Amino acid sequence: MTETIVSSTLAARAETAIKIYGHGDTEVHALRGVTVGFERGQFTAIMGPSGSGKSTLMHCMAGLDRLTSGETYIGDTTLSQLSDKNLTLLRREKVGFIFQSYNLIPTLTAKENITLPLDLAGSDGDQAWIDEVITTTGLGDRVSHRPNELSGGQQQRVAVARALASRPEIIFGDEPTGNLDSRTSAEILDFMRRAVRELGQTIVMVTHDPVSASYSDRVLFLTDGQIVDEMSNPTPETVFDKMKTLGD
Amino acid sequence: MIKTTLKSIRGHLGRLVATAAAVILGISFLAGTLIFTDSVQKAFDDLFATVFETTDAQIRSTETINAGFGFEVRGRISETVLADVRAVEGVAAAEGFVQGTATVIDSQGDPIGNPGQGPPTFGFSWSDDAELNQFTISQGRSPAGPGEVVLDANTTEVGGYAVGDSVTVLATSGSESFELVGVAKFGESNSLGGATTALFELRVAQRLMEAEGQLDAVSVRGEVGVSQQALVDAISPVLGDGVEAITGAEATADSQDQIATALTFINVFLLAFAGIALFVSAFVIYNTFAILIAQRTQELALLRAIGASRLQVVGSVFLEALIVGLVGSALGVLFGVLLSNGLSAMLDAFGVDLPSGGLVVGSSTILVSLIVGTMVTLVSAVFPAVSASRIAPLEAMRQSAAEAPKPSKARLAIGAGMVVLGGIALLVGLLQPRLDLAGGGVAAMFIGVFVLGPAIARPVARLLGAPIARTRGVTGKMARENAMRNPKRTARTAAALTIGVALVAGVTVLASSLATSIEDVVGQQFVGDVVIDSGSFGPGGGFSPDLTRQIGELDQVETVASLRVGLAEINGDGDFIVIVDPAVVFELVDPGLLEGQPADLTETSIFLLDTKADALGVGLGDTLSLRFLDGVIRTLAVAGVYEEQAFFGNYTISQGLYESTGAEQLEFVAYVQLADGASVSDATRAIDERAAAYPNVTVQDRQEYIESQSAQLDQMLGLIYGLLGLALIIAAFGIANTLRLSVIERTREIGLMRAVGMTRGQVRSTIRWEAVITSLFGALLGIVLGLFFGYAIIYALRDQGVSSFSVPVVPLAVVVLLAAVIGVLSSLLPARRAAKQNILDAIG
Repeated sequence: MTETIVSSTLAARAETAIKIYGHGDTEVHALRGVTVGFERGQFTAIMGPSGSGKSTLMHCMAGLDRLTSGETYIGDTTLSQLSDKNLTLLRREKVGFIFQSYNLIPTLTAKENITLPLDLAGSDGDQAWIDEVITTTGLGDRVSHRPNELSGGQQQRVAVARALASRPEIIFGDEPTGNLDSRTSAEILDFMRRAVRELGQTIVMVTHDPVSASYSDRVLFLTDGQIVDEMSNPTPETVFDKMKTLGD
Repeated sequence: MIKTTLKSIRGHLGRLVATAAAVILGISFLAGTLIFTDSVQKAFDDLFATVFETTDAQIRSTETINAGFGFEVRGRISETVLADVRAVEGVAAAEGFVQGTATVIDSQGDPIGNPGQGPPTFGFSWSDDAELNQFTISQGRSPAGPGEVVLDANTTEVGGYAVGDSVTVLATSGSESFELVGVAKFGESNSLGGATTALFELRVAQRLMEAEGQLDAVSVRGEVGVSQQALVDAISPVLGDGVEAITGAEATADSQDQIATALTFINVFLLAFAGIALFVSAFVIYNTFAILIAQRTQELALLRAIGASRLQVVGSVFLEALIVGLVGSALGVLFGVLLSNGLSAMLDAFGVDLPSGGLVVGSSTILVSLIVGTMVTLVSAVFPAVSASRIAPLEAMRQSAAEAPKPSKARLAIGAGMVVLGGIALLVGLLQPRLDLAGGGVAAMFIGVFVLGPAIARPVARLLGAPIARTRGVTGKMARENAMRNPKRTARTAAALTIGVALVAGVTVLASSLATSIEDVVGQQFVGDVVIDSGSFGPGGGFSPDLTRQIGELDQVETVASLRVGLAEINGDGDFIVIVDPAVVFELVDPGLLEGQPADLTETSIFLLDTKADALGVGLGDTLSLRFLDGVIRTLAVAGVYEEQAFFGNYTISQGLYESTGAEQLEFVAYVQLADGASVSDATRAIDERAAAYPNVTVQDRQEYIESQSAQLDQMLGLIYGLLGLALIIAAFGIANTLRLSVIERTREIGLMRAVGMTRGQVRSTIRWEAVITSLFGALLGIVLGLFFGYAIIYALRDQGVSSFSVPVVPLAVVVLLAAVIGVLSSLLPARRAAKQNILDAIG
């Protein structure tokens, strides 16, 4: 894990990322020097037991939280140097998000939710791309409905579409299917995988579900704030076996 | 359950602060008013008790005329009574006093004080009996002869004078110069309740007040061992008809009562605004409780699910309201003390030196404030509490607190019905006139709008937000959606502002219409070229008829006609009367005579206003009995009826008649018709020269005079705006409060927006524009209501010469703009809070 990372093929990376919460007796080491890179056009899953630091790693890489030391990059941009305002603009333009729940603004229609980051930037975006993204959600007419008129799966598809709309450098998902039943979950994960394969997007997803992880190209395993292993072309079974050895 | 409630209060402390703030603001005004008037009353009571301490009996005329509003004048008695009283056994000393108007001119040549608009300008005779004299010399010596004057300490200072200076004093007899030989204090105070006082030797005072051979009162000191009542009993037999003796205690009580009556009007005026502040506060308190309870619906439902009864749920909200109400009211009383100090300081700055006796925070003030504040809070909390307890536990646990159900048709019907009925009540109340009905109508309309609000808030907010949504991009659109998403909340939040704006708009429309009407009437009825105006209405102000005579002698002047104002009892009721010279006045002023001819106004006849004639049921040929201060009842023939009140008031009599009553003769205003070919500027200069001896008068040309007639309204308007400002401040608190609660409710939403790229500035902007839309909604409703209020009052006054309904567009636009500014200001803290929220905490 010490090879030099070539930035040009990486959508995002972290170098000796350390994150410590609290002080003195209550100090918690969430990340203990993580160095990792995410290649463009790849679907990566980050797994690990709860408290392993997987969410912290994602938050710090996405510019939602700051490291105690070390560095994270989106493309060539160094995140630690950015002001809150520039971090916000970076998230708006270069990062997409899919959260576990409460992904959509209840007062906006599905379509308005999808274009929200673009609207916040005051940009029209690439209209052909947006149309393509909206088509892939399969919502049809329902894109002009408000979130409370959509099913949980439809809402999550809108969230994925929003993450795609501005063609970000990278998309982060925080247990994006954690609240869905297995059938809907499969549908969303398939949608995400198509976004990577067919639309050339980069997605990093935090999950603790081996089945979800099996949709990715590469799985990273985190324990106690450190990357302990990784796996390519995972299946639910290989991931499950690996997790057992990590003691979750 | 009590424990749960207390825990809940602690948990929601931040949210309750703003509710308490509304209680505090409303109650502080109420308490402040009560404390202020109590303190002033107490100070005056003490003052009069001190002043009359050594007076065992007072002798005075029985003739009084009461014009209402605590305005009373008393007749004079002959000074021969003095010798008779001094001869009575048991009398140790008796001193006569004369009282009148004497305006002091300061060292710059300007009059000090204006009795028409402020405290009186007194002239008194000086008494050498130190125990009977209300004043004490603090510098120099007492006035001993002609050409000498003593001023109160405050007037001396304001006028820029020192002992030995020459002082010009304007009295009934005209303007004269005196040497300032001393400075006096009234008890411990530097002035007599802010009035200016000039003291003269008795003979000088009698000449200046045109009271030769007369006295206003005689103060008597009894010998040791003679009771006050015994003294009065001994004196009474030597007094003639129309003269009475009262004990010192009665004189004290009498003076105290008069002040109390005068203070009552200030009190009622201020209390009306305290009531408005409380009414607005009630809306804010209601709204806060409604939101708090909506946010806690699930918590309350959980309590219900685990076995709490409906009564217990309502009870817990009640207990919370009780604590907030009590604490808020108690703090309100404390703030009231500060406010009352502020009122005193404000009056002090205006030169009203009220006697200082310390603040009086009576137990009744505390009790009334606590009860009113707590009741308002409880009543405001009861509706949300009951409706919260009605929701079935499971339903409540399912539904999301953020989205309110759609307003019902019943709401629309009830709200509209209340507005219409309230409007009818207002109109009927104004026409009757019955102020309670009119006030009830206004309150019903407000409550109707409050009920109706949620039904119209969504479409109106959509409309108002349209330009914002179009120009401000996604933040503007979000702001509009947020203003529309919970129409109930938007409407209730705006309601407080609606009340404030409605009152401001109503007063503005009313003032503008009155001003236009006055200018129209004056412009139509007054045909002269120049006006000499003393600016002070009623007895005690004005200028000497001597000036009118001098002006009449000028070459440039064709005709001069004056108006005087006096008091009389007409068929038993005291009222102001206007006194004119029938030979000339009709050439300059047209009162719109409906019956009778100008020549019919003689020394034995009277003209009156048509509505007065109707009210009294009299017409040409009937008679009215008038009693003036000389006590003689005169029977006057009704010889004319006119329709315009602007110049002639309710009753008009001739100068000849009024002069025969022996009353103080002072001109209120004089109108001038110029000779052919005389230029206005030339004539004005000549008149100014003559009027130089009367610094209290202004000389204006026709146009200036017409405009100045409505200018007086502006002063009143300023005061009312100032007091209504409080209602707007409370409304701002209400908006801030709602936004704060909404921001808490939307924590996750805001966090999500920040995560996907909303900058802090955009978060603030969204909340700011939401506040602006809410404020504009409230303001527009307020403007509509205000226009109706203004129109209703103007309509009710249409018989009183108020003919024009004028809508002042610019001031109303300013009010709307102000409402938007209030929205922006009240959004500052909630917006800051929202923008600073930690994203991870928010979405976690």
